[in-house]
Amino acid sequence: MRKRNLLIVLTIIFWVASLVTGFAASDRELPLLVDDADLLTDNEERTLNSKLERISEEYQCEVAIITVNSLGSKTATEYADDFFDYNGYGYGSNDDGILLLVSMKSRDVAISTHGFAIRAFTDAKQDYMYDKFLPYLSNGNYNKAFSTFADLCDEILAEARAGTPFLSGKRLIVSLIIGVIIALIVTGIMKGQLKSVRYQPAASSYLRNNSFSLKVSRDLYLYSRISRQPKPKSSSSGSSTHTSSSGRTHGGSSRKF
Amino acid sequence: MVILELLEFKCPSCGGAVGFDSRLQKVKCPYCDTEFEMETLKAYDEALKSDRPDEMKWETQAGSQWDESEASKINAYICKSCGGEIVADENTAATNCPFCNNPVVMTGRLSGVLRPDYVIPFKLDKKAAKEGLKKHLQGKKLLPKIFKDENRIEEIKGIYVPFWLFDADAYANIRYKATKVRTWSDNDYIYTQTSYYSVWRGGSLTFERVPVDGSTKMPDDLMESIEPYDFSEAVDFQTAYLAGYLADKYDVKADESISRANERIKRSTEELFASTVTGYATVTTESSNIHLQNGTAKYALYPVWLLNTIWNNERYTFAMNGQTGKFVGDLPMDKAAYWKWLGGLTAAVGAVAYLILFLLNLL
Repeated sequence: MRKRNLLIVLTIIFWVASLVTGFAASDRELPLLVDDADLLTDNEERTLNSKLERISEEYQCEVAIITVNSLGSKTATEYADDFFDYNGYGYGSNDDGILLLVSMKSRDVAISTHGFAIRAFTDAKQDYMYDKFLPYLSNGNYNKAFSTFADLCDEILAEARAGTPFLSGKRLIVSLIIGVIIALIVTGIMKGQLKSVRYQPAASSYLRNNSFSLKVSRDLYLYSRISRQPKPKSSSSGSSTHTSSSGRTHGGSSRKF
Repeated sequence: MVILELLEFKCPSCGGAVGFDSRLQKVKCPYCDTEFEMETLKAYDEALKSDRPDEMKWETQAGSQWDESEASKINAYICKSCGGEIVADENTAATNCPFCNNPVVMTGRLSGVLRPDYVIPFKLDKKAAKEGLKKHLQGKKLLPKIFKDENRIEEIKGIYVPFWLFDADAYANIRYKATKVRTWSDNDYIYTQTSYYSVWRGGSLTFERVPVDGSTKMPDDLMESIEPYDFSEAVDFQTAYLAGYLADKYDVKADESISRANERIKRSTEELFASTVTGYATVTTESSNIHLQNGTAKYALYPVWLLNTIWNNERYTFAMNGQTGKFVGDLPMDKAAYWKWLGGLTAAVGAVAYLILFLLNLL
């Protein structure tokens, strides 16, 4: 009798718990792939959607692909940001996620990132991704373009989640160089302690106090020259961000195809 | 018709001949395209004409003749081994050469040298000199350990070293080329404006008793290293001050020592004037003319504690200022210890750097 009660209680706890967590995970009402422009066959859609779901679960960061016919009055970036925010995309409490938007009428493509994905998909990484999948998009090979995008997300998220490895040859070489330089400076000082015999270059200790009188002191401007150099392009390794209409911070960029 | 004035100047930028173009009402150098105001060029040219070469003249009346009775109380010695010549008063028996530790022979009376004008008496005794050496060897991590134990510290000797002292008033006229740099930028370019200035400084200063070692047996760099001596404690020379100490005989004449004093005075003068040229990004000396006046020289004996030692077939000389206690002397290096320190520090600093780079997520 007691055992049975316990079982019931446990079942209820389990059920409530799964309901709560299930609810928390699925505040999104739409699937990860929304093909409103109807660019893919049903079969392609199913395959791609399950791929996106696998990646999203594995790295706890949602990867979504949205196709639309037109953007209305919004820019591609605004549309992508709003679609992400108002449809509840993003994994976990931070809504970590990346969304690819393709608009057929204006031939716009935009990436919007939020949360962890802002850090993972840096500006440089996004450029690299566009370089890989834009050609397929331009050729009308949508399935190939989207699966390439998904694979790239897989790759970049794997890298970002793994963090920096402890062993790195480059770091080893740089730290060895730092070590050698500092060791040379310190041993140089120690060597210097052994040497105390040197010529006195000047005779300033024998200058009579207050005997220095400056009679001529004249500074004459002659001419000036101006030279200019092109500004170096900033090659920052970070991610640029902006604020969407909902007030949340997004990363991302857009292109034409 | 264009009338060119017959005025010719030297371009301050490239040195080419430039003329005034009355049509432009400006001066433009045909070689480097730099434009100048006429007033600027005139002032520059006048100053150029006032450049003169250095003049350094000294009157040397250092030292005086010994009187008979004084000279008879002083014995001269020579070292047959290194040729060092020393003097000592009749009550001080010199037995070993302070330079090479070999026995010295008395050659008799003092001859052929001048009587010093001043002497700074020994202020620190042998005990202080020994302490000085011990302190000098302390805390030097690359010094071979056995070097300390093998030193024959007892043989440290007090010796009066002959110095020529030079007084001088220095008059300087120095011209510098100086630049100021201003940078700003717009969206596409970084602009750098370099403004060139001609800067003149002139004036005088007085140096008193710049010492130059008058003995070839005493290495000049060693003697300069124990400087400075405080001349306010100097007294007129009396043979009594020699009691208990050796004195080196000078073998470099005053007029041969002048060039070293000149070098140092010139350097000091240049440094002092250069320190008055401020507010510029770069300053280079274009012409410097230093003129020395009323140079007089004096002959003085300065107190030095000296220790010569041979270790691993190398000679090491230590000297202590007998007045201030400043102790100098180059020391040998323990090569094995050097490599150990270099390797150990590289490994330790490298490991810390590696960890910091990892934690900062760099590379």
